[in-house]
Amino acid sequence: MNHRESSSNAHASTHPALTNMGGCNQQEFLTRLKDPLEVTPTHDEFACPPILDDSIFRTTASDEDVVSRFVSQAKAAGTQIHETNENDLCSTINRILTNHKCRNVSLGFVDSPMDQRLRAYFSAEKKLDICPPSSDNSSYLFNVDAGITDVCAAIAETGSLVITTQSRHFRSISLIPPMHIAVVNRKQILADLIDYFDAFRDDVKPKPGFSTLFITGPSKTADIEGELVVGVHGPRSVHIVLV
Amino acid sequence: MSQDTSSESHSLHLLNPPLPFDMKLRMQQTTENDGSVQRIQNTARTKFAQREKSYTEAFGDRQTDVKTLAGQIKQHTLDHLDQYLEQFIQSATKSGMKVHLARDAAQARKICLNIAQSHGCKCCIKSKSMVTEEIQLLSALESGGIETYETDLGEFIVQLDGDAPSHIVTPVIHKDRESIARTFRQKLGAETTSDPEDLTEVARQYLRNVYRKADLGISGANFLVADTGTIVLCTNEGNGRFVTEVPPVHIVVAGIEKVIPRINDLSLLLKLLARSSTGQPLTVYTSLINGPTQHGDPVSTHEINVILLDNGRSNLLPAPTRSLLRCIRCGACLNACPVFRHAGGGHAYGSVYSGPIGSAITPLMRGVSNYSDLPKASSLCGSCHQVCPVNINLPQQLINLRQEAVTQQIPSRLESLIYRLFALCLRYPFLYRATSYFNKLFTRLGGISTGAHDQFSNRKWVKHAPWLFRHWTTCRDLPTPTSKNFQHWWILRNRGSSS
Amino acid sequence: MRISGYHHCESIPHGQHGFHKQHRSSIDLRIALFITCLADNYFPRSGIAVVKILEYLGHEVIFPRIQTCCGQPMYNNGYRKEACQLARRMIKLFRDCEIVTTPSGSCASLVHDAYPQLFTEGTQDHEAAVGLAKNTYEFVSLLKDVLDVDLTQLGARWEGIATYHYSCHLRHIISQADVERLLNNIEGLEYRQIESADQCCGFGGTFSLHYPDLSGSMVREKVRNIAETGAETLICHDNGCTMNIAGACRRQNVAIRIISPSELFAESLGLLERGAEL
Repeated sequence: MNHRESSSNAHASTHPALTNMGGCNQQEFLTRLKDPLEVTPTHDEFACPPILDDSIFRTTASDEDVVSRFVSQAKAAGTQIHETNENDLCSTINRILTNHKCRNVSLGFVDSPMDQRLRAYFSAEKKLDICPPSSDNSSYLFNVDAGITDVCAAIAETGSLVITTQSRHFRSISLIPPMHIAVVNRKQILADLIDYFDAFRDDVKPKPGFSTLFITGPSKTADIEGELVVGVHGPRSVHIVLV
Repeated sequence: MSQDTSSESHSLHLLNPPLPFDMKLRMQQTTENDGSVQRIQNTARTKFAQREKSYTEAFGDRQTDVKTLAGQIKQHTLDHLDQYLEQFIQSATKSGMKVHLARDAAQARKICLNIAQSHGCKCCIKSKSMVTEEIQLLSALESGGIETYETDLGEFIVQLDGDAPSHIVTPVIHKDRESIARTFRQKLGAETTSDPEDLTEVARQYLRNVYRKADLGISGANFLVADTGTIVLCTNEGNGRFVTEVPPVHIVVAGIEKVIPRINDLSLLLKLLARSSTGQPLTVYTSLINGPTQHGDPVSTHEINVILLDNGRSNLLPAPTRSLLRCIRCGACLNACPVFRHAGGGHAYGSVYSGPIGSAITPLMRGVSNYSDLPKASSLCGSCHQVCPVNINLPQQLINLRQEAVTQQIPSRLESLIYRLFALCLRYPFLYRATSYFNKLFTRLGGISTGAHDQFSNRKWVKHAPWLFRHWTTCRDLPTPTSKNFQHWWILRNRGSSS
Repeated sequence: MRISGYHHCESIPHGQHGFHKQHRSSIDLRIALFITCLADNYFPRSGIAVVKILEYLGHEVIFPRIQTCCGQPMYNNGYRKEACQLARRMIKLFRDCEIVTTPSGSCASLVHDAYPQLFTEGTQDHEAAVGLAKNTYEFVSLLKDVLDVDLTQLGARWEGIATYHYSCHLRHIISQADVERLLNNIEGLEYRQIESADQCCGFGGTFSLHYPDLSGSMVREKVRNIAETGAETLICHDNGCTMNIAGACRRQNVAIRIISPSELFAESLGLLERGAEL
């Protein structure tokens, strides 16, 4: 983007929103910054930021065994991993839910076929109540035992899940219920954070309402005397079902 | 839930003390409680070790290069800060966010209140944010009739107690579990043991009730991405997500220095932030927020306001101090600093920002003469520079501040006279030798001999030195010069060899 | 700049060790010594050791006698004008010296990092400051990086249990691991590492006077860590640290002998008699 253009656009469209809550005028605000900056030799032209040379800060090589690395990093963050295959996916999820005595769940899948499959399985089993995803009132999530989602990617370097969502339900499904189960396909695992930002460039550009979440294990704190406690405000446990 | 006025004024006093700030006086209080000092030391040491281990595992020999690159990216952004801020304002606005510009704390508070009042907000949940402490937002909201809850566990406890955070990352590390349990029993009516798991459960249940009714969420931001208008928030407990995902109105308060150029810069900076802070590869939750949700549902975030705050940061923009704005608030310098550990933590600094970074930015933002003690409270050991992920040369910045203090004639006239006289003596060999001679003469008068026979090792030790040097002998003996010095040896040797 | 090879002087007494004589081609250098005000007055033995070692290796030591101080207390405390005056004096004094060495890491690092900054770029002063910065070496780094000294080959020998305090200002000069390697090349020396060996001892120059409680707390921790090693000797790499730690050890009745690296090396080569008390 040519920043001379952008700055003139910004001046042309100085939004009323900037000042109608009592904020400063953009020109006045930025002028105060310009004085000390104009002395900088390169300030006249908009110089490009330094090149991000991957080789300096990559921690996980793409040719590493990304699945093993992902599993070990996720475990280190406190996530529980269940390795399975496509056929046993539903029964694996069912087993996790049964072991933890979960009665009702909420599904937040971007992948519709997987969503349908699970619904069909659970209604056949008749053991679980699936709470509707599009309710007017998301406080239902406070009474849900587990939230089940898929992911858009996973990062081996950090053992993280990446969930890009649009609707509020999909976002808070991995936050409010005490358990979060995420279905991850081995093919979705990327080696390094660098690979995510390279491959998913468009996903992180602003589309209204989109947010991207990196989730690395269950919620935790060490605020009290430095002692680690797992399960604070967010989920107490995170389970990854790896297919 | 609000604090009573006496505890509120206590917390304000801790971070906004009478000026000029007397650090020595404050340290008498902060080092009183041995348990507290010990906890701070242990936490700092543990995190220091975890950071070290995590960096070595991730980057090996490339650590210096990684920090140099991160520093260059941040420096570049600061060198063009006005342009990047303009870009951020445009991108964020395009995504549907409302951007507000606050020149100072009072204006920022006013904007928050106006937003809250325009939506008729009654109940606010806040996640941990240094900048909201800086602008004293909590008391302003409560005075404005908005019930406000800190949701980060440590900040929640601090709020209940009317205390102030003692560390950027772990705010209540100065407290022990018993005192936290007492607070919960008294202030929340909770029946609980002092086990951290039980205490956390109490906070979880209490705050979950609050989350359901909150109509306003206020957070800080770790990064603001200029090219996409993205807000980045890194947290561990999940409260940050509640604040940013559940209430219909969300306000982000962030310092102007939080801007970074490109979304891809996160691939480097995110790797550094959590590793520098606690040794984790990433925090549990990293949220990249691109705009409000579109469903119009009453309990989703349908309005996001971003308040960009100056509040003295532009004072740091001149070239000599600009690098201080690179700071990503990881807390690594605090954990590495022996002064921070021995001074009893963040409360010793009388400001929201403590440790080496606080010692440098507080005088610049609030007046060098108000906080002249802070740059002097450093042995210039350089540990902070070594661990800083964005390569800020903090010891040099502290020396520069000491120079500024001398220029502003802040040290006492006696002190300045002594340094200048001392310098004079060092410029002329005759005066240097005379000073050495008299120093030896007077200090040996009161000393205890070691009994060494070698005149180049023979010295005495003084237990109670007079005048300026009495500070030295409060905790260690003072050596005197040896009977003969190096110059003597050299002269004798050459006389011997030439004869 | 790397010079290899050294010359063994027959005239210097071998002492009681009986090490091997090595005869190699010699390249004699003229090395100027900047003794520093602290070493001159308080720890002359560390300077004596430097001279003896360099002459043993076959080099000539020059000592400009009108030297005084690098100006560190002035610079660190914000008295820039005074620091500039002392820096100019120092630069002028050592202007024609190709190699300058000093037993103090903090003084060497001042010359490297601060001296060029004191003068405006493009001026003669600045050029001269940069020149001196390039030519100045802390003594142990001189031995390792310039003279390529191999203590094992020299037959260095020193019996005893020693520990080592790594001073803060060595960070950009020589690593702790490099110094430890040199210590481990001395036969008979049992080396024990201090926990957090690179943690500041609390000296910080006038910091020790301005903030005695903080400084005291820091040095007490350092003394505790030293005592825990059970070593009889502490190799302390900077004279300021030595003043601080030695004073604190005495105050806490921790009996330990404290010497500089140059003294250790000189003793291990039989150039200095061991046993002089600090």
